[in-house]
Amino acid sequence: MGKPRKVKNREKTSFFINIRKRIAFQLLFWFLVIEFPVQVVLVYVSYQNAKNIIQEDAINNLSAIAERQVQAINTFFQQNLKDAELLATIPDIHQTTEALREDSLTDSTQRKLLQKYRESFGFKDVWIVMPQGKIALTASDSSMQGQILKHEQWKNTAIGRVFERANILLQADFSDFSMRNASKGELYIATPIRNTQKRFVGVLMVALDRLVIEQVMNDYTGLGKTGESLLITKINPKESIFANNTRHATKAAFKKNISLANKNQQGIAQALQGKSGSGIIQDYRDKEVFARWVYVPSLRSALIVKLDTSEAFAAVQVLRDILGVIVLITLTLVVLAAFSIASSFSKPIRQLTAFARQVAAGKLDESVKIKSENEIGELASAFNLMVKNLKESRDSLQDYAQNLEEKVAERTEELQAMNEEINQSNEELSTTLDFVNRQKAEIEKNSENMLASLNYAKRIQEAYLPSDEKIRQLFTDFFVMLMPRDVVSGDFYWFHQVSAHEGILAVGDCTGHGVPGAFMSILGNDILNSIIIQDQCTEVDTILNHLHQGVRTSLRQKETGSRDGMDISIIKLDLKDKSLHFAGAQSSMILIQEDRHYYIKGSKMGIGGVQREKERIFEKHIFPLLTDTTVYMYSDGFQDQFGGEIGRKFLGKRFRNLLYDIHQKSMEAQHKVLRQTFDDWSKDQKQLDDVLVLGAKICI
Amino acid sequence: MKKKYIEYVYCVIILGFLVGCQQKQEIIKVGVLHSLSGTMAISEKAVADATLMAIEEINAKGGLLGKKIVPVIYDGRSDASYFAAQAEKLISQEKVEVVFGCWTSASRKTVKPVFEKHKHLLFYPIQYEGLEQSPNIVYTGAAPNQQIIPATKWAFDHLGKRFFIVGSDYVFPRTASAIIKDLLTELGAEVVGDEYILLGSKDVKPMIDKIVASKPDVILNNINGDSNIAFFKALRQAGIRSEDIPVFSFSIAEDELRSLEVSQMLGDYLAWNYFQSVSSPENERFVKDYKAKYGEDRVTDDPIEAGYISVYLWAEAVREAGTTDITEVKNQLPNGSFQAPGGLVYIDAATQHTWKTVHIGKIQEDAQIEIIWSSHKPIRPNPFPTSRSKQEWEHFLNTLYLNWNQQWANLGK
Repeated sequence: MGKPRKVKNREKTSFFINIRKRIAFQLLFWFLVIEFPVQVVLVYVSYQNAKNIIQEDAINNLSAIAERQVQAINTFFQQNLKDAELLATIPDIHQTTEALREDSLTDSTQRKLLQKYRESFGFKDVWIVMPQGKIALTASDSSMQGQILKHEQWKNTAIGRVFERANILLQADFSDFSMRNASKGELYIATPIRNTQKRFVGVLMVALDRLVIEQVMNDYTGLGKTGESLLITKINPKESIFANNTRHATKAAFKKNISLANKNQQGIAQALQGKSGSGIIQDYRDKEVFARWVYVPSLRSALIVKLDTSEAFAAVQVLRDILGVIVLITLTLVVLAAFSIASSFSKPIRQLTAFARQVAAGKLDESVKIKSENEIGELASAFNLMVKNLKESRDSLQDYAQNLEEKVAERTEELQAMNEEINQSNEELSTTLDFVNRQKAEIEKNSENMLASLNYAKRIQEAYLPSDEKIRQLFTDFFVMLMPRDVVSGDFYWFHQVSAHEGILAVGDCTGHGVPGAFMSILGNDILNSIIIQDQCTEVDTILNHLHQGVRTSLRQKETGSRDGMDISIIKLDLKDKSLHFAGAQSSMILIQEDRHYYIKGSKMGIGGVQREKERIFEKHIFPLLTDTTVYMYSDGFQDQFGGEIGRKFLGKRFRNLLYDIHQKSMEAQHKVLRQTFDDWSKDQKQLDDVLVLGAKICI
Repeated sequence: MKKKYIEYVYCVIILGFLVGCQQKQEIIKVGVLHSLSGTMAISEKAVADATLMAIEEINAKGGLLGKKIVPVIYDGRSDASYFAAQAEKLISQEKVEVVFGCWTSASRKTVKPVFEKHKHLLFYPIQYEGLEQSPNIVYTGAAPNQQIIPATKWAFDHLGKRFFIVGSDYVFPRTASAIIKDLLTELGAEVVGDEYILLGSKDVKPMIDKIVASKPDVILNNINGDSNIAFFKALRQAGIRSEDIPVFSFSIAEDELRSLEVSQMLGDYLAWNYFQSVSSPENERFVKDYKAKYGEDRVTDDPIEAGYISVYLWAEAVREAGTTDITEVKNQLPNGSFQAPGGLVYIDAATQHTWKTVHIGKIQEDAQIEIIWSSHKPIRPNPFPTSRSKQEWEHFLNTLYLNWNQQWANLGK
């Protein structure tokens, strides 16, 4: 019960489930599967590529700027060193120095001199320092005058150290940035002072305003809107500090610290270790920047040139946006293309499908109109052709069917008519049957009557036949087999003992059998009586002749032309004469003496019927009876009987051979054999004719 | 079938080519040229060791430009002219990209024309007399103003004004002595003696006698090699202790102290750009690695450290240049800097010498040095002391050379 329902459901929903199988969907799916990843990869690669190029560019740019700035700083250093060295060689300076060695008291002329040089060289301050470390004279900062730079207070400061270096190394050198509050960020140059004899007399120290450095650093050429250069100098192994103010850190110089432990400041830490590098880092503003960092040995500081990545990548963002738009457009186009292509396939296919359904439903008159010229178009034309042919087939089938119907109708009519006829016949037959039954009853009654009549007639006929004793009086032994076909027989036999030693025996076969035959046998019997007994004619051939005439006369055959008559064999036995006379009218006799068989044919003329010859003469045959003789006389009833395996006549030859075979048996035995043989032969065949076989033995 | 065959053949050819190319370019050959036998072996072997250690460290970190550095080590046999022949071989036959080597100024002077001829590059890690500025040599040892001059000035400021100068008889000590004497004149100090013995000689008696006789405040010692053993022995035997007349040696470092009687040198002075006792994380690691590699009984000193940093300075320049091509590398040399065990160092663009920190130290009992004065920052090298002009110095050198029969050392008549 469940199965049909399932099928129905599937059918019902097949339309919708298969949306995933539809061409449009599949095409779209595959287009996207192929196009989308490819596009994504392309876009990603382009974007990354662009980013990489920009990054490389940015870093290269920053490196160039860093190099430029380092060069500028170095040039600044060289220049100032040279200036300081030059100043130290000026006679006024070393003379003043030597003067101060003698007498440490300074006077205003000396100071004025120093101030003059300070101004013309553009230094922030100029000091003359004694080899023992005492600052003998200053140009500006009077508080420093008299300070002894070898003392604890100064020993480990930038100022103290640079003095010491110049003192021992005897060459000009730069100090570190001064961290002294009063002179934060200042740089000093110390250089030995030699007199005209090249004797070392003292150390000249000049102070530089740190702004000079800043001027070098804050050249923003090539740094766009967000780029800047930082100079970071180490305070101690863990801390560093800004050495300049920049556009994003306008008050940072020597105020803003940067911890070197900070993960983000590894670039600075590296640079302060002497390692240069570049990359993308988070700066002190926590913004992502491209940076190039180098160590500036002369300042013992790290120089970082940086540019915000957002500024550098601005161009890439535009690229990214453009690429994004392209992706969207391409995607849209792809989707549209997919649908369009799909529908260019699926639309005609659907048309074709609908049309096929139509055809399935039986509408063969239309054709599908599909415009595409591709394989689907071919399919459509083939389809149309198929439908056209289908239609033709169907039409011709219909005609044929119609024809058939008509014929069938006709036939049915005929059959009906016949049926009626048959019914009618049936009725008639029924009537007839009743009639016939009545007739049958009547006929049966008649038949019974006739049979009774016939049986009575048979008794009469039997009474006519000679008795066996009479025959046995003459013949030693004899038998007679008489089998009438229809109760009464046309075959008969006749005997008369003429004398004590003579007898005449005849066997006759009258034309016809049954009643006419029996009449003829009576006639024959009577005529024979008249001839032989009355007329006392004993010559067999004459007997036959008179018999013939008698039959003709009795039956008025001259007038009627009837052909009735008989075939007859007649013998006369003369025991005294020891002879046997025979004559036959279309009838034969067999005579057997010892082992000799004689088949004696009678005359070819029968008794009765049409006579054309003047007189009918029959032949007479005489046989001597020197020994025992057996004779047989018979009608052709036996040998004309059909039967046996193949339903043939017994035939004369076989009959005669049979007689030869059994002639030595007793008459009784022979009778039995003949009877048996006839019965066996004629098994299921009707008896054809009356059968008469007479056998007589004459013993001498 | 045929097509497939051809494809296979192509593949094999290409692969073979690639592999072949790979093989060819996977290594960078560098030369290491030091005396591994002869009188200088005792000093130079340690320097060679440090050079090799630096190379190993760089290889362990992935090599240079992705390739392995392969050192080709040649023995100079403490023979200056043999050094030149070996240098020639290294450049022409071994085709090394750079050579780290030499110690004595004699050997440097003989190889200098070889390097200049081939426009090759030598990193020379030993303090020397200056007066030289070859475009094909990078001097990573102290120039006179980075050792001799500050040491002398400091001695003048702290030890006394009467100076006795001793040295081995070859170009360095002779030149050093000239520089010292110029300075001392500038300072108004007195030079009471300036004596020399032949390289390797142990005949110190004459100079000891002279020292005893002249009673200086300070002895400035430029004797090189194992002659120093004889010198100090004789000095102490003569009754002169460092409290009496301190000796300021310029060619003795921690390594030489191992073969000298340290007990005989306690309180004497040395001036270098590096002492094993320099306190920095880099130095701690360096000393530890060196001892681990070569033995706990070994020491590090300035020449050893200079041999080590030469490799790193060169490697940094190669990295920046992206190639081992000598011109490109030389261009990048001044841009690099290296946090050396002894402090930050970098190469001076003008002179191709190295900015190095100056330390003055006193010899301790454990043969370690107590640093008593430091410049605290790297000092600009100046190979030509300003006491004389360049020409005057050239003339001075030429005179020495000719007087020694065109040798850079007095080989004994």
